[in-house]
Amino acid sequence: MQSFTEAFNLASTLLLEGNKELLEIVFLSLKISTLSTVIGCMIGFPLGAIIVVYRFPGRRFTILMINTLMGLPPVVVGLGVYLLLSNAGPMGNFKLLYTQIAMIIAQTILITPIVAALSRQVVESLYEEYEELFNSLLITKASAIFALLWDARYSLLTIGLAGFGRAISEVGAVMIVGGNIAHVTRVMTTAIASETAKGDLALALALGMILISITFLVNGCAMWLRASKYFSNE
Amino acid sequence: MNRNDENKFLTDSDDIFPISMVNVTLNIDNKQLIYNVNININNDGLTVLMGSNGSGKTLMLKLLHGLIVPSTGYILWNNQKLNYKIKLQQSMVFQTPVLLKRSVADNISFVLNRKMRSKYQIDDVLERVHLLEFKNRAARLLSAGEKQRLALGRALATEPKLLFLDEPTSNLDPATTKFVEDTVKKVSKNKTKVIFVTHDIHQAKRIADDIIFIDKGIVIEHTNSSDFFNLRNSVKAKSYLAGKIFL
Repeated sequence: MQSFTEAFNLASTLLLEGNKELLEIVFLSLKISTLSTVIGCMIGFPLGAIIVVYRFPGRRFTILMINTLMGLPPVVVGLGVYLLLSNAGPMGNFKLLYTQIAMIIAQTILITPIVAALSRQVVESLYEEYEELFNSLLITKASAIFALLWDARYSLLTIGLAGFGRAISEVGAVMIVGGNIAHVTRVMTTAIASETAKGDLALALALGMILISITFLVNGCAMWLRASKYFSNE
Repeated sequence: MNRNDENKFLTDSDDIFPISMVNVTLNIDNKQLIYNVNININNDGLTVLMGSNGSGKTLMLKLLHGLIVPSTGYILWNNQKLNYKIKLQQSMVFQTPVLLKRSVADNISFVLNRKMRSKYQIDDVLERVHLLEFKNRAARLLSAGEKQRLALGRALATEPKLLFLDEPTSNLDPATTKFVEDTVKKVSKNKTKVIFVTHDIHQAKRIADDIIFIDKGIVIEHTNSSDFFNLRNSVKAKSYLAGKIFL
């Protein structure tokens, strides 16, 4: 077991040297989380807008479900995806368990309700403002959805960043479905967990520092967007 | 009039005038807000819908524009029920301008793209409402008067046969108010019927060709402007013009 100072020094060295293993883990994390966020947003944004614009039976229940799913425990999602992709599961034939695709599926399931629920709130307030104008201009519901998503784009971008923050810091689900296989499915969070368990605090600490920096950067971007003139003016 | 009687009057024509409100009532949350309205509006000039705050002017306008549906009765446009073709010939300017979170030019192009029936280009429309210099500015950065001018320009860009304006000058300075009044008077003389809601007596005197006076959801008078201001037959209209509030 290393002392904290020793671990911190080693971590700094790994970072400054650009350790190959460290960078591999960081880039894989970014890749998985970015893809999950993009897919989650592609599903969540329109879903949030559809719930606002269309009136259909079970709409309130759908909203309740999405809000509930925002708090999905990652390990439960991991377990669900594991059961789905394991050999005995309905998608076992695809041999996706312990692959990056499995990790993307799990993270997308985690992110999509968050993106959908937050998008619904943003789009709803905009729709309250636009509804009469759209009715007056004979805008179809489908066109209204596109217009609302476009006009809410800066708010939606911050929601996307929130989703990315959730994805990149998530450990439970990707550990279960990815398996933390070195050079294949090892991402920052799973590496931190396993290296800490092994007592290799230097790598864990270096990854932790990078993870915090990325989270800081993402939140900074979100804050800047909220305050920027583009966001407030348009 | 039952449904069969109603249908026998229906025709298929591009002309949307006269507009007839037949026994129109409106109830919201079990409260009656519009009572048994029977009026005909022809295609001449500028009609002012006048009445005190809460009298039902905006509801009448929204009923006519098809934004809300009567609880009973019906509205016919040249003996046709409201349909897509008729709605396409209408535009509305709201009391508080609703602008998209886009540039001034994009607010106009949104409407031009939607209706695809205007001979105007974006610059022509903006020139018309004196906003060309703000073409690329975010619409939400405009002043209240500029926003309302943009909303008016957007409504006119579609070359409507019928233009509804819901107290468009209530928050504007005198210069912008004059601009709006001059513009709508001009378009009303050029193939566009204008229905203008206001509670401002002086404004009504300046612009109205005919006046529909409404009180507590009941149409009290529908007459030409000079008769309304000079003869004013009803007690309520007299009280309103005298500045008395009746409860």
